[in-house]
Amino acid sequence: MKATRFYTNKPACGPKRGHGAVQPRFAIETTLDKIAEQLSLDPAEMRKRNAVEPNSFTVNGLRVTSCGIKECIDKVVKESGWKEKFGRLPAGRGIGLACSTYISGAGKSIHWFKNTEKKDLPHSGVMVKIDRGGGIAVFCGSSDIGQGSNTVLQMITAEVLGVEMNDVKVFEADTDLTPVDLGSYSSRVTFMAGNACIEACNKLKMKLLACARERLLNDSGKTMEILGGIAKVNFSIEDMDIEIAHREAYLKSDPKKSISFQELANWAELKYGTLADVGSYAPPQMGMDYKGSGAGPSPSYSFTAHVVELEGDHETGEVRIDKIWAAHDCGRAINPLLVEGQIEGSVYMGVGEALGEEYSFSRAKGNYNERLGTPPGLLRTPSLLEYKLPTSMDTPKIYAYIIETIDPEGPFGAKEAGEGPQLAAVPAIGNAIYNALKVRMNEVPFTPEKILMELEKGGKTQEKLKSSLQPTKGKKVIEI
Amino acid sequence: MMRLPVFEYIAPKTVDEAIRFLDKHGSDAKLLGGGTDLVVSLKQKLFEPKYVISLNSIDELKYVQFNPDDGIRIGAGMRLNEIAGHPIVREKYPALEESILSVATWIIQNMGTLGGNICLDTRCWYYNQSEFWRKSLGYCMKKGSEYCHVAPGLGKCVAVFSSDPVPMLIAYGASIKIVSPRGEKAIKLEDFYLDDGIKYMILESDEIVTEVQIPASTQNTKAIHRKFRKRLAIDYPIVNCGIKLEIDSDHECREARICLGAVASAPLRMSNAEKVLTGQVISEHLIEKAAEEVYSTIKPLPNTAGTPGYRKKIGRVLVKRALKELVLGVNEWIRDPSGLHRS
Repeated sequence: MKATRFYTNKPACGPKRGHGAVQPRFAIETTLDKIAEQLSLDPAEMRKRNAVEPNSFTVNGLRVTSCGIKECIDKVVKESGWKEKFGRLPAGRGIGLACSTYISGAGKSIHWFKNTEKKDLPHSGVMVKIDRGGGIAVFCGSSDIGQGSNTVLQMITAEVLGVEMNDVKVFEADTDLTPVDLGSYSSRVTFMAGNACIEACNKLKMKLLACARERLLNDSGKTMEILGGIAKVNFSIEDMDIEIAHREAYLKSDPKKSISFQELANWAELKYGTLADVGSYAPPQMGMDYKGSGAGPSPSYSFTAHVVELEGDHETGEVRIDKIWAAHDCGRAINPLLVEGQIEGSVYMGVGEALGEEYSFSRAKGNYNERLGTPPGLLRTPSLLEYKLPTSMDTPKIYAYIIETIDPEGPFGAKEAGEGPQLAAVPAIGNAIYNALKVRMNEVPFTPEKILMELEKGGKTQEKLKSSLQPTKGKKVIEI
Repeated sequence: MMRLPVFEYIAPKTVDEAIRFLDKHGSDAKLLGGGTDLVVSLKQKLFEPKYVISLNSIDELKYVQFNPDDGIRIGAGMRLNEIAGHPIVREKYPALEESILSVATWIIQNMGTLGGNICLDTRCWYYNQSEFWRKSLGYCMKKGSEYCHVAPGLGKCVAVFSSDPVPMLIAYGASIKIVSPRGEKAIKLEDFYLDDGIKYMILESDEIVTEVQIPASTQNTKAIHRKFRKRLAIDYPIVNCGIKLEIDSDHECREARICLGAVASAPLRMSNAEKVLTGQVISEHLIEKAAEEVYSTIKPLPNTAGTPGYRKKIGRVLVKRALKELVLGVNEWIRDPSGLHRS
């Protein structure tokens, strides 16, 4: 497999969901499907046998922490009825499978003060401030582009500090006001800003816990010593015997002894001064020493498996996708509704990319006449009429499954969910088309014209199709 | 963002008033029905009329009259969804309902009018684009230049007529009423269109289409409308077709009318295919033969979605499958090609 980037006179490209991973993933998963067929292996079983293990290193030196790829495959295989369907569907109907993985933020930062010490500057910073009314302000440079990162920061803050979500206000993406966050790309915000947020909140929590212990047990001076306004803790959080939840701090051993969060915040401010702390996150050092090793390392990776069931038309080349089962390992789903939304949105975008969306440009016809004639390089799909996004009528039924593996590096064990679930959709659809019509589509989008052209090349009439779909004699399909 | 050009908006209350205005300013004016096509074209600066005359306030254009002997008369100002939802249309002309429901989306069916749809401007990849895009193209024959990017040697505009209901109306044998300062006239709908992307209809600038009349259907009448498109909504046809057959009690086809849309600048009657079926008991073999005739008749050009070769093949499949559905009751589609969205 070879990947090349071209510099052309067409408009410059920009990142889109699954940046740089969609293309090789399509090639890899299509190739795996071909290999499975040649070896007479079940594609699901073959992928499981060769799957990456948790807490391992890949050949190119990527560090895998938590990994639920086998669980993802098992889930979609079970829910889709793969075992009953693969190789057993009537002519024209097909089922296909593909997997993918994606980074939870790039291990190397995009500013990349290359070859200087500054290359290890934090990727994300968060500042948290508690006011006298018990409200909490979170400042973070990340931009919520609709993925719900503000909600997640709110949830993380509320969870760590023991308040309600509506006590927390997030101020985002104002470079005058907020610490640096490198941005909403590479599926990194929950992971990196989330970790930074936890660090900031934990610093405040120490002060609150110490103060709560002092108020509830009257043991002032023993729990804390103050050095230059920074709280230094002599106990671990567990030893403190204090819990803060639902705007109340109480003794774990005697929950009746309690103090409200607002009052506690006031006492803590009296003791330590203004309650504000910062946290930041930089990924650990990773990657190997080879050209290109900078792209790929990430503190953790998400995993996905898709199964697609569809029907293809041998006369028109059109394809009707009926169902897509998508299982995604996102570590811990901090907000399952948002994760589900990300999976569904990803699958939808994958369907569009597979079936209709295309940037095409005009070519020069013969001797291009400057006064007349169609200029080459003109975008032929300039509006959403030509650039065919699927409508609600074209969108299949999507079943989204969340597979939770608690990641040691992620905030509360979370990994990414925004881009990984998209990557498997395109090859899974391509593999299902092959299963249905016995034509291998090597170029997206799989338009009806292209499918029909492939069908005609193969000269497969419906009768031939039927016979080709019968299980091959003497070859045993290995079942899961 | 594309803005509307400056124009004066006129909203006459009667056809008379509209005609009097057209008599004076017809060549500077555009008629506005639902505006679902015209407003987009205005924003793209395809037209820069001095006056836009809205026909929406003319109540006398909004009616449906039915007479079992003469058929149905539909005012040109009726909204598409009002026609599709009309009990008489549903009962007597179900294929017309199908054709209307395959238009774009429900939202557009809510606004678009029958008259507007009949006079729908022809479309082309190089024409229905923003001013900015067309300028970089160097414009085209239909607007702003003398050069056709689709078929430079042909010497005429080949933009495509893409209405969904019109092929069905033609198959049903519909006529239209045209009012002008010179009076009123009725013509067959199929004679209304010209195979020229620029002068695609015979309507003059001082004339208004006021009514569509469809002859009565009998118990021998069988009709169907099918549309092939890439997406199931908000998409123009790759090819569409309206078919009406008169099949008598001994299964003989007395009359066949097949009309294809979106393959030329005018809706096209498939007379060779019709000849194959007329006077015969329609069999699967004859259907295949008729579909082959369609394939060799149509000559689409590379100016809409779908390559010409693909559209030709789809025309054949479309007619074959529609006839099979209509006559043999066999449905071979994997996606619903009617507008009814049955699942």
